[in-house]
Amino acid sequence: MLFKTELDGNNKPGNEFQSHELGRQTTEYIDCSKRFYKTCDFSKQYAHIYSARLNTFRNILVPLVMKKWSNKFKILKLCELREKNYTCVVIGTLFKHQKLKPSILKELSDQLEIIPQPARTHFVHDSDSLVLEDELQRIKLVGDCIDIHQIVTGVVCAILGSEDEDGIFTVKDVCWAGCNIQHPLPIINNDRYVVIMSGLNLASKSPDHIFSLHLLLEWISGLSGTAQYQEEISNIVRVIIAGGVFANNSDEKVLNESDVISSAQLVDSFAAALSAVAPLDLMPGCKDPTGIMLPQKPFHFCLFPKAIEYKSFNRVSNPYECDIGGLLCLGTSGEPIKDIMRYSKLNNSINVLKKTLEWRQLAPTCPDTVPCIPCVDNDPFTIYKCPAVYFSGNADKFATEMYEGAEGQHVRLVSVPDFCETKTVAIINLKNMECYSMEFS
Amino acid sequence: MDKRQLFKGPPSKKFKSYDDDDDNELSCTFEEQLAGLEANEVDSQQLYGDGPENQTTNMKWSRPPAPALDPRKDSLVFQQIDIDNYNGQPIQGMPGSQLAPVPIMRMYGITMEGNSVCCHVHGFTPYFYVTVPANFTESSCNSLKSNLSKALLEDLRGNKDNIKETVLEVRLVQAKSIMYYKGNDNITFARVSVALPKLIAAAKRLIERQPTSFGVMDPMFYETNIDFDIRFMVDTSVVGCSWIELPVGKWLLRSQNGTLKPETRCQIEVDVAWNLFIAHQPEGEWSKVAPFRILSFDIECAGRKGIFPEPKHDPVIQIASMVIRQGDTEPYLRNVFTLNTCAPIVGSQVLSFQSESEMLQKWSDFFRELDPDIITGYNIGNFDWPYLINRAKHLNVINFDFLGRIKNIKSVIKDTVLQSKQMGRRENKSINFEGRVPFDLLLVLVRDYKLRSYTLNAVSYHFLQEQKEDVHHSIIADLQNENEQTRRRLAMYCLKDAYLPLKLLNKLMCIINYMEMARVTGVPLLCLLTRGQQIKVVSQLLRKAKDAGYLMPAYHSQGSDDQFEGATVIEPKKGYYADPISTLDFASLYPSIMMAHNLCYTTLVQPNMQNHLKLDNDDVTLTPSKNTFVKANIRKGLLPEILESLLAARKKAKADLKDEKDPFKRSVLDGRQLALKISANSVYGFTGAQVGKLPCLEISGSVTAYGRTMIEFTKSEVEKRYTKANGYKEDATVIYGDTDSVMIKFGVKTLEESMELGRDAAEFVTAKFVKPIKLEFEKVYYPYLLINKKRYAGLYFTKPDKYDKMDCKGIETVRRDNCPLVSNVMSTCLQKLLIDRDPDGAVNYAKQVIADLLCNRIDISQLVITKELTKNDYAAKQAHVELAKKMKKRDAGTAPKLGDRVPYVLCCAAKNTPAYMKAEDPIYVLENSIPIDFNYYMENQLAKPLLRIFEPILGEKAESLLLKGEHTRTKAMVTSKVGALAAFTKKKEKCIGCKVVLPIDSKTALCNHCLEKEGQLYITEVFKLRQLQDKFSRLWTECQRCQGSLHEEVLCTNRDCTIFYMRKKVGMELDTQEKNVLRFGEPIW
Repeated sequence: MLFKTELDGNNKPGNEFQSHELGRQTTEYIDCSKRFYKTCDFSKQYAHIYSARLNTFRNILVPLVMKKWSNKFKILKLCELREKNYTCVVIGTLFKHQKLKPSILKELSDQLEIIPQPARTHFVHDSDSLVLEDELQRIKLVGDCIDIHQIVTGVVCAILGSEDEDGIFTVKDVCWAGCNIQHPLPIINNDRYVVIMSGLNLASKSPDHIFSLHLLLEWISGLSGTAQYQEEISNIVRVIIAGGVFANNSDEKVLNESDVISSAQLVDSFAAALSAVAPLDLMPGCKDPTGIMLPQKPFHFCLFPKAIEYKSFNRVSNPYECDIGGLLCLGTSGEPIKDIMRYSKLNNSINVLKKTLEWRQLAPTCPDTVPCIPCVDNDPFTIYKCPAVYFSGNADKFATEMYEGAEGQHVRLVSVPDFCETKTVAIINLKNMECYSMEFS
Repeated sequence: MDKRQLFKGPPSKKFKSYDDDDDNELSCTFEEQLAGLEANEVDSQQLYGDGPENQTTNMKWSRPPAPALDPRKDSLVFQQIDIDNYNGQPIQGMPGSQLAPVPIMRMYGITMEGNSVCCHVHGFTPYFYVTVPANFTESSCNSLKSNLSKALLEDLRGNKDNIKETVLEVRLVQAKSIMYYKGNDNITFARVSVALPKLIAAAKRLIERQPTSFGVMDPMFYETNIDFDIRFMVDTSVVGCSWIELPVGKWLLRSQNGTLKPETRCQIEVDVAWNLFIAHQPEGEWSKVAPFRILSFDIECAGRKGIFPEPKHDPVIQIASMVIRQGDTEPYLRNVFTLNTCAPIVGSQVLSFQSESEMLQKWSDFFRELDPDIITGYNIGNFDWPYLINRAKHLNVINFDFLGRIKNIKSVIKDTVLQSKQMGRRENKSINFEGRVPFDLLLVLVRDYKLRSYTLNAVSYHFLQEQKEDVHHSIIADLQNENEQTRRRLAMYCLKDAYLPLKLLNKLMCIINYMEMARVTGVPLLCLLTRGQQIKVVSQLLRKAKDAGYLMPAYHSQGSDDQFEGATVIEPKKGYYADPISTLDFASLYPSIMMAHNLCYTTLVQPNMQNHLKLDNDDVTLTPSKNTFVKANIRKGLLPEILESLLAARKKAKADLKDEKDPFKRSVLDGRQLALKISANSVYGFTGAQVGKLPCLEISGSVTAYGRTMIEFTKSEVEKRYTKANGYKEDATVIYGDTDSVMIKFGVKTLEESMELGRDAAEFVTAKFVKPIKLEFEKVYYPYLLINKKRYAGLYFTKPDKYDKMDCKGIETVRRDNCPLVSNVMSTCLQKLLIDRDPDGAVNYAKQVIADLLCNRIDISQLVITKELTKNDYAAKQAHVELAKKMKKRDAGTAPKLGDRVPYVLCCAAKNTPAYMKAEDPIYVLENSIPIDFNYYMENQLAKPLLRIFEPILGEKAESLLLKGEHTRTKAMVTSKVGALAAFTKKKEKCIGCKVVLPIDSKTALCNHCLEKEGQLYITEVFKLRQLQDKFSRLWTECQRCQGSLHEEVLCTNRDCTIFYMRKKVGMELDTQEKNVLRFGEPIW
């Protein structure tokens, strides 16, 4: 039975408001986010992440290259490029030179300048140029089959082409890592719903969305609708809040420490109320009170003195990965996706999600333009397993798409909207992977 | 080979096969050089035999092949870039003496097709003039000739040149001396032509010693002190970097199998008579620029730890070269020569060698094959070249030093001292590259720009907003010794250092501007960098004098103490002016005074000569300094003529600039108009330079005196006319007047009105001056902060709708011995005062900075003072020297060496410790949290400049308000990790909330009392953490981008970079803050 049609086709008057006992359905749940828990050592630099990333992807890409170009071309390191115009394959990290990219160095020198620079939110310029860098060197890329505005810094790929006399590499074809092979999806016979939302923005001073939040709370608690509808509600097995709890990701607002402090209680109460009726996974967002660097650690328990009393209250990391009833869910609070849109001409968040899935890279522009913990041993943002649900929070509007991979992968892509702005949440039915939005206003 | 010997002495211009003493030295104290001639005469030079032949190994390296030329059918056109002379064998059919040795000029240049040319110019003979008595006849000429010839021969000790005929010709000429107006009668001079340039000085000396034996009385010498090259250029109307055309049939081509063999490495080598070539003036078509090859290079040496590399011990490990064609934007050739293997670099050629000798050998082969016209780099003149040459000598690399275009001349290093008013005394090494122009970017920048620091880092940040990765010299040897990848990294660094000078040259358009300057003033390009301002004026003066029939006396410079009063200023009415201040400027004040009043050597009337010359008072001008000059109707002066043509040319260039669309031609024109302006202004300086070639204090004194009276006159005229009584809104007052500008407060409130009145006043006053003096209305300052003489700041408006810039004069923004904090605070305060018009805000900001300073909230990079370690034994103890010694004790490997710049901050120390003992390495300070002496920074760095700008606003109370207010009460206490007491202190954990000391074994962040506010306190700490994290990631990603590599760690130790200390500090603070936050417990329970 479908949620939506149920809502529309509620045509059995009479017994719908009878009271009867309903228990919340449960589904098996495993938190798979261990790899996002990083210890911080700030004597380290960012080079290690890139190296680890390149290493991982070299292993991923080599077999793919063999397959794609059927062993016809040698895979070389840039330092082995001795012959000009010799067609070969090079694996490396892409880097975009962007003159509009904000630079702290420029800002520091601009402080002394008199004319203020206009604030920008989009940093693409026609003069942007692309280089590929392997462990040791970089080379400038040209060629029509790689559109600089459709990619971003930090993506690892294999390129086919040749170096010319001037030391510029002409790209003839590109091999992306592509979406991983997916574990077979489990068969779930009953409707089991997961609600994903983001951007509660509780530290905001304009409270018009608080009412919507209460509606939501009542709805999840089963305080609305017919008995049948309530039964349907009981099939919501999990609520994931994908960041933006205290403040959403919108660019303009400067977050005030005092606002956060004064809203802490409200956030705790809300989390407690929600946890009381459904298992809740609470992810932090880039403006929430935890470190700014990705991967973000879960919220600190001291912020939730009430909510932590509930076992169903689950503070999780950002990015977040979990297994719900055998379905792998992976997502971020949206900062990496937003950042990609800032530095490319990609402007549709679902498209960006798809891209990152095919790049196997949750957050390619991290650490270049997204703050990042200087990890040493591995790159936490690599997508190791193909998820069944892949989401990103704090988007402008709800959007979803079923990604169907070449190897038969089915991935439900969800752009989870900012609740504060849209009063909308996303609902996924684990049984058939269908996804809807629901507005509370 | 046994003839080969180490040779000393000046090598700049050498002779093919004759021993000789040197003549024209590249040095400004020409007179001294001449006086020292005898001592040098023994110094002989041996023939070396030809250096190696040019190779052709690489199509990209070599020049395009030269076309087959036939002198009978083809003309040859090239742009010359350098001119020198040598003594050689006369060639039959050429004019001039047929008895060897004869002086021969060489012009080097390239054609539009990029082929290099050397042109031998024959038959030009050196000469000078001497005054002769009235009864001197043609026959006296003959006896002068034979007597002088004999005397000169006797004077030549040994006569190694085997000169047979020393004096070629003596003839009488009618001319006037350039000095003084003495009526229009010519006087008689003997023009003495001699065989070689060096004989001029000897002849002068001999005649001076015994004038009567040569038939002259009280001889006055004229034009004996003119460089031979300049003499040649003046007489043939060749200006610097001009185009030369050899017409069909008038020239000879040298070839390997002809009678005349090539002597140079140029592709085309020709001979021509001195009067048969065409010197094109750089106008119209001939203002183009040939595609010169500009080579920029940089070397890396593997020094021993703690010692500045010495060529006797430390190897050269890499040489990176970049070559660009003049007019291109990107170098077309990039290569790096490395010792030991090096991984390939995309876009650059890597040439690896196992032996250093071979590397040097091959690089010099490359250099000769490339045949560059201009050689640039950063500090190559004083470091890279001498190091390479000395190292090659040490390793016995054969033929390394044949770097010039003459096959048998080696490049050698010699020390020169350049003394000029513009730059002070500078000691430089100079190296001869016949036919090539060494164009060290550092010298250019030191000449033309006043900067805080001249390191390549600082310079590229200043002009290109680009930081440069800086590898500490202690790591260089490690990188070299590790593997081919680390050597590649080093090579990248080296290549960047070779590339940046080209980028800067291009951005600053140095080559174009200097070429235009050479063309305008008529001197060779090289002179502009190695000589002072004077030679430029001499060259122009000679050209004009020659046309007008004047001769220039050989002036004996004698240091005189005669001082003339300098430019005056109207006493400033200090203050902060919130109303618009109109500024009137005299356009080219000094040049126009000279033109208006016809001030010149040739128009100056000697005291008491006015009556004698029967000059009416109407015919002369009496200047305010009581000197008399004749008016233009009696005789037009040369200097005014020079100035007129310069300013007319500038006007034309500016007009052309307006119409020109092509960016390259625009840059040429802009360079030209700038060169013309500078040249016009240097004429005045020339007349005032007391150790110069022809100082004339009557002229320079009159000019400044006129300037003074004109400023005063303007003031009184303006204040007389713009009054309420005359119907204007307010009485105007002149609040300040400087050399060539007057600031007027009209009392109006709007920009429009002030501009209108300014324009009106400019016209009104201009009408009262002699043409071409012109008072121009240029700008309005609104608001305006007048601090003192030559110290002011204002917002600069030329149009009413928007300001052009903030203009600051004489305010601490670029002083090198200040820390960056001072200049940053000053500019922010000025911004607040002028742009935001918020004096209160500015005061509050200054207070805030002082409070921040005292509370240790200022970034340490803001407090770093940097000084160069020039020598270790200063008489007075200096902070940076003491620190360098201290650091050497800690780690000799990374301690600063001679020539390094030592950054330091001043730290707290016991009372009465002298300041020089308080200096400490900023890194050491950061790592050990050593307390900084904030009081020093407040009192010795910030106080004075701040008081200066705030006194006009706050008045007397400025000091108490700024430096002693409430905001100075809170001070941060930093506990040092090192020091006498550090070992005895034990840190106890405190409650993050209320700072109460916690029980010793307590693991919590808070005391019981604060526990209920846990969430709130946690959020506060997290916010601090977030700020630091944001900064950390932005700083380190920036460095990652700057170094141009994602996968390699940042090694850079560029201490000039704003980020450097910040990066270090933020990492440490972040670790501390992370620990603080963790005291609340791991978030996962």
